[in-house]
Amino acid sequence: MLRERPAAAAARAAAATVSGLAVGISEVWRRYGPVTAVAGVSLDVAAGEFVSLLGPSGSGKTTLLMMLAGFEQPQSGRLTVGERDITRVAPNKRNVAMVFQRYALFPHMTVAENIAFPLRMRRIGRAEREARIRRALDMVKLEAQAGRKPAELSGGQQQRVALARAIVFEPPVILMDEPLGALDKKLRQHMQIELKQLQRRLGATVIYVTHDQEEALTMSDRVAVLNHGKLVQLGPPRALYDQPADAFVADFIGEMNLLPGTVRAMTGELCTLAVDGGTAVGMAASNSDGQLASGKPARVAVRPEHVELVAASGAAQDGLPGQLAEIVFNGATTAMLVELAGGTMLRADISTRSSLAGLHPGSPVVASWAAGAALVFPGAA
Amino acid sequence: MSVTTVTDLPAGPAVPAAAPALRGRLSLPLSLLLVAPLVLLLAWAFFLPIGRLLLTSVTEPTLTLTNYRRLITQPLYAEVILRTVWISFACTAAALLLGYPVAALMARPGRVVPKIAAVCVMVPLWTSVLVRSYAWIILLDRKGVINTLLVQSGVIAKPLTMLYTDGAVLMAMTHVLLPFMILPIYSSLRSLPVDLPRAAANLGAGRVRVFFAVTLPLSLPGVFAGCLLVFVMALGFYVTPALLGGPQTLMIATLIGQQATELLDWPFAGAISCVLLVLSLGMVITFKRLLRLDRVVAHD
Ligand SMILES: Nc1ncnc2c1ncn2[C@@H]1O[C@H](COP(=O)(O)OP(=O)(O)OP(=O)(O)O)[C@@H](O)[C@H]1O
Ligand SMILES: [Mg+2]
Repeated sequence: MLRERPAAAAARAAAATVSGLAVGISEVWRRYGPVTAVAGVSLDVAAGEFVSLLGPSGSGKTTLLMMLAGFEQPQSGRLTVGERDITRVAPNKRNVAMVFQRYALFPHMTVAENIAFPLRMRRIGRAEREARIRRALDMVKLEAQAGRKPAELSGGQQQRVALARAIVFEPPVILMDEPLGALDKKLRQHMQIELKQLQRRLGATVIYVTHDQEEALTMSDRVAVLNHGKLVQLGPPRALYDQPADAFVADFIGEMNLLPGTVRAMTGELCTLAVDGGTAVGMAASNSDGQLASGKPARVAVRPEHVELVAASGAAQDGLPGQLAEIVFNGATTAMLVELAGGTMLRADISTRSSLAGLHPGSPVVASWAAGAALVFPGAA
Repeated sequence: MSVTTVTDLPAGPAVPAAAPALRGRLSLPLSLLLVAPLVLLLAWAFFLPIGRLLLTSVTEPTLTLTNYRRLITQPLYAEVILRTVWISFACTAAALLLGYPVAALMARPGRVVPKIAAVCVMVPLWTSVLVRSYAWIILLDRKGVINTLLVQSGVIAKPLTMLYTDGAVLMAMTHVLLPFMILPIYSSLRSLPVDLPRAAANLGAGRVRVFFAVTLPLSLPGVFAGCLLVFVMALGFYVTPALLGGPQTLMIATLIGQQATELLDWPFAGAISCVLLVLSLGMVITFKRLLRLDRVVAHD
């Protein structure tokens, strides 16, 4: 996917009505009895940046967000918004908006009253209030529903009311906890684009929780991957995809083949492994310092789109021999599932246009890839 | 750059509130069959005797309205009815003021405090009303616990008259009926998603505002249910007023009891019962009409 970063930034600067504030999270810990929900996370989010917190269920994403909103207290660490330390500030004094996963619209108020709520709390006068409500409703295209109660709206409409209510008081920071989680796929993709546009226009800093890696990759300037309460990697989507810091990130982001094997030789960064009766190559992961030595267990990570397949010729070939187990047509690409000699499954995504004629389930094949396309992580699974 | 607005969305249908699991699943004949035993029992043991009692109030000695005329013309009876309504009203108000904080305490997140509060509410409920009323007698009697303490410590010279007053009846009735106020409020507070007060706080509301703008309005169904329950039960309360009230604090139920069991004037007892029934039903209907609870609040 192409990203015109400088252009986007310029558009943002031109259209921004509110300037976001930087958010600082430093060495934050939160334990619940024996469970460590957030383990020493440090993360600096720039003003106006869109950062996603991505991680599997129970990785501490919500807890981190709740601490930023003030509903949970960190046991140690510091939280800042702009220059201000908010670690011990009451939730209603933080000026940090939150969009809840289940929207949390007030059921006894109409759409307009819901949106008016934060303005009333800030004692904004009637005329100004009405004008802002109209603008917010206009932004989310809900003018016609202003007088309805939340129960009379569809899921997507409720979602947009929640959004309007969060942006109407022009908060410098907006927190979102899986705001699209309850929507169906089509609507979710639509809302992703809308959300992103809105954020650009407002210039607000957004911290966005999701466990959908695709969502995180499409929307974010940077993605923070959490696992077991720890921040495992922070970077732009492309960096996460191309240079995962460890096997967990490699596996979590996008499709990835992770093949267990044994290191055979190291030549500089180039690692040769014995995998499932064949030979695989890859570059040593950047933080594997010295843990990859001949005879040590390791895993090689390679994306399906980088795997090349050729029909086995009988002569000795470099690569991993196996048998084509299944061919799955996915539209632009076709997934070839290969059962390696040792039983491990390997996926290769081949462009459908160049789909390999003559290969069918049961054909003996050899899989290989360019050494630069694969990463080797130390340790067994 | 022109400001783009969020593009149009296919407007999905409004999400209907999830129907209770069994609604509409059972066929009509089967439903009728299932409720038949209860209907028969009620008809035989409840509606029939009440109907006959009410009937006697207009048919005995002959077809007449004298029993009702007596109720209206003799000031004593009007006084009893008014007192009953006023005590029930005061009792409801007191139970609400005392009960809401307890319900809120029970609905708090956490383990220990809510459990203790719940036990304190439930245990009296499992104790007989008779026992609890006698307990008040022991406390309030001229030679009771409170008077003895006060006299011995020299605060007062002569024991106070506390028993057999409106105050005693009111206090004891509030005590006995309090759980019926607390439980519905607790239940509506419990079903309130934690996200709602949190969202209010997040949007800038302090504790007091969160309570009055979100928590209280959304717990109103429980408040109204509790008020209705307590008020209607108080209207027809028998044991406590009979034990703790003197002749000056006669209430409707006690009056009915007197007429039926002591004076054996069943037709007149029937007439008073009719008034009580009309008052109770009137309250229920007025509440429903005025408040339209289901429209005020629709939780998901
Ligand atoms: N109030 C709490 N009491 C006890 N444990 C908690 C509490 N809140 C969270 N936890 C624990 O902390 C860990 C992190 O929870 P959290 O809700 O932050 O995960 P998450 O990343 O948001 O997961 P999900 O994707 O499922 O929403 C979990 O193991 C959870 O059980
Ligand atoms: Mg969560």
